[in-house]
Amino acid sequence: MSTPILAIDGLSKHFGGHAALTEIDLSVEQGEFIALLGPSGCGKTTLLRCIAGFLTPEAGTVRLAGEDVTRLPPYRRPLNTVFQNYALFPHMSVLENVAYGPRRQGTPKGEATRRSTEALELVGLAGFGERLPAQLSGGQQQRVALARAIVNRPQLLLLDEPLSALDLKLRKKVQGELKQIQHRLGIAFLFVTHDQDEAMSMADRIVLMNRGRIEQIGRGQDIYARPASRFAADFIGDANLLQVERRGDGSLSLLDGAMLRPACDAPQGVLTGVLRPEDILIAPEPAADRLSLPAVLSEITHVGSHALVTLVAGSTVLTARLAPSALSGLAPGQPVFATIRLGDLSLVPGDA
Amino acid sequence: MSGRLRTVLLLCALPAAFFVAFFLAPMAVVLIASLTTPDGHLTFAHYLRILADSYHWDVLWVTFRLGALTTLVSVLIGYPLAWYLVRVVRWRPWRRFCVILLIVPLFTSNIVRSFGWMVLLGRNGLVNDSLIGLGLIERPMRFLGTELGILIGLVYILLPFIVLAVGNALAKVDPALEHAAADLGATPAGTFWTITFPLSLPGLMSGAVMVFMLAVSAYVTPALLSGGRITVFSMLIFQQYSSVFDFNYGGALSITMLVLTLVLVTLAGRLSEPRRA
Repeated sequence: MSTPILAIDGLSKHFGGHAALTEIDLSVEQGEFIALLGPSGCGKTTLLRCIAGFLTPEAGTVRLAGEDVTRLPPYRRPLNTVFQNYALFPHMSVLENVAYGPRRQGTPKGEATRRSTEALELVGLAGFGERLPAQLSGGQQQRVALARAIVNRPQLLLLDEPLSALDLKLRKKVQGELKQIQHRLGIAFLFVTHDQDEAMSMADRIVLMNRGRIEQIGRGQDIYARPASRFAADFIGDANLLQVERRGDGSLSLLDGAMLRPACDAPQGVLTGVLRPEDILIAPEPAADRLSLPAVLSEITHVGSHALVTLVAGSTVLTARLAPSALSGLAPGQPVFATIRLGDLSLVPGDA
Repeated sequence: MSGRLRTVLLLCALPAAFFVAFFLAPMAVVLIASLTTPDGHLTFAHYLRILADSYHWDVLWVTFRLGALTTLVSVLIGYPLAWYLVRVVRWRPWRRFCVILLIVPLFTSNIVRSFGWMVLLGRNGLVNDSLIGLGLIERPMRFLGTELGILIGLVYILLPFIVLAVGNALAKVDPALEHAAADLGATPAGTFWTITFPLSLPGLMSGAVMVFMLAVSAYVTPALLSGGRITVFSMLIFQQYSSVFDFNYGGALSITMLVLTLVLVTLAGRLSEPRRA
């Protein structure tokens, strides 16, 4: 296996007494698209700044293509950044903005102009070179920031919530273009976002962060199907969280009904069961091949392509996502059975 | 409706009247005086006299040279000082203290401060004593009655304008822009010259123009520190009004200086204007 383009090892950063990052380990392969996902204040931007060189960590190392850059200033690190509010130089034309990087690295003016023009063409802004940043729309400014960051052909590009200032429709469009450009250039992208849909739709792998720690690293669908923690289950997609108890004999007790779960490596004690809304079906009778829980249908909410059904089973409230066609003959107040497949239930540590 | 119109007119008339009474009218009086003889006939004789007299040109040259030097030295000292206050000082109370120290002298009279410099710059003043004590000079240097003395006094009095203007401009430069420059490979010095300095230039220019105009038109400081050996243009004007009582000639001198200053300031503004794409 080749050297990872970015390798972070045991990185910790404190602000005063507050631990912003704790023991971060992360490895990014060449050409990978990684999303750093988490709620605000989880440390994702701090991590990005440590990689770019604007912050120096107290412990741990940052390696770029095998070289230790932990103590190097930003201008000596072979990577580039797309900043949150683009940070375009207001006193320079679009072309001068893009050519800034090559010029700083000693590229002759003609060559820098040629490469900058190419980069502007790549992001669909051919012919905009003479304008000032203030004369462009938000979406166009975002493209200039991208062109400026890729013109040096870095092997790693950091993107700090680059789409957060765009409206929803434009954001969807730019997401697709960004993914295309990333694919075409083969540059590894490290993309900070707090939007789980954005992370799910764009990234090869998601690095889920919470309170300065990495909660889980994996493909979006894997984290969704097999969350490693209660936080991961709750943050990625919607989840029903159920209290589960694992007894000494290996059986699991769910919603006060005992059942057996084979090949279970969960620890003993109280756990949290994660159940996705689409994994719950509703039936008038107990289903033979599924675990059936008696419940009362309390509410049906239609949200376009599907409906959300609220079920009350004892002291637990479950939400199921069903196709409208599966709702025929169902009405609030009706006693039903919520049926699930045992395999759809993920167990994570901690109390629900 | 007409009552409302009257209110609007009245509200507009007030500032207009203020402007006319306090700015336009005195200016018009001076301008008219400069173009008339004492008995009221139109004449260009005063201006011709100024143009023909080489003494006036010498004084003008001294005045504008002092103004330019004052501006240059103020910028060279003021820019780093503003940088220190805005970018280096992290401890708020210390920054506030420095700014107060900078502004408080503005509350006292120019005369008092210029007299202070007369004491400091005298033969046995603090400056000469210190320089001798440090072994930099052997005999007391002559400051009073030299352009250097006037320069020191003017720089001291006008420095706060540069520091405040530049400090304000520096504080407005988005740190993200400097981060972006560093990210693109610019060294700290490169970042300063390509990003921070150009973006602070409008503030620097407005401060410099202010200092230049105040230095060129200064009267008290040059008059006190010149010891009668050096004459600047404002002193010539003062003489005409207070000793010679030739208001017509004094007016012509005033207008000459005003026009020259405006021309120079406009030229400087043209040179530093941010370009439009």
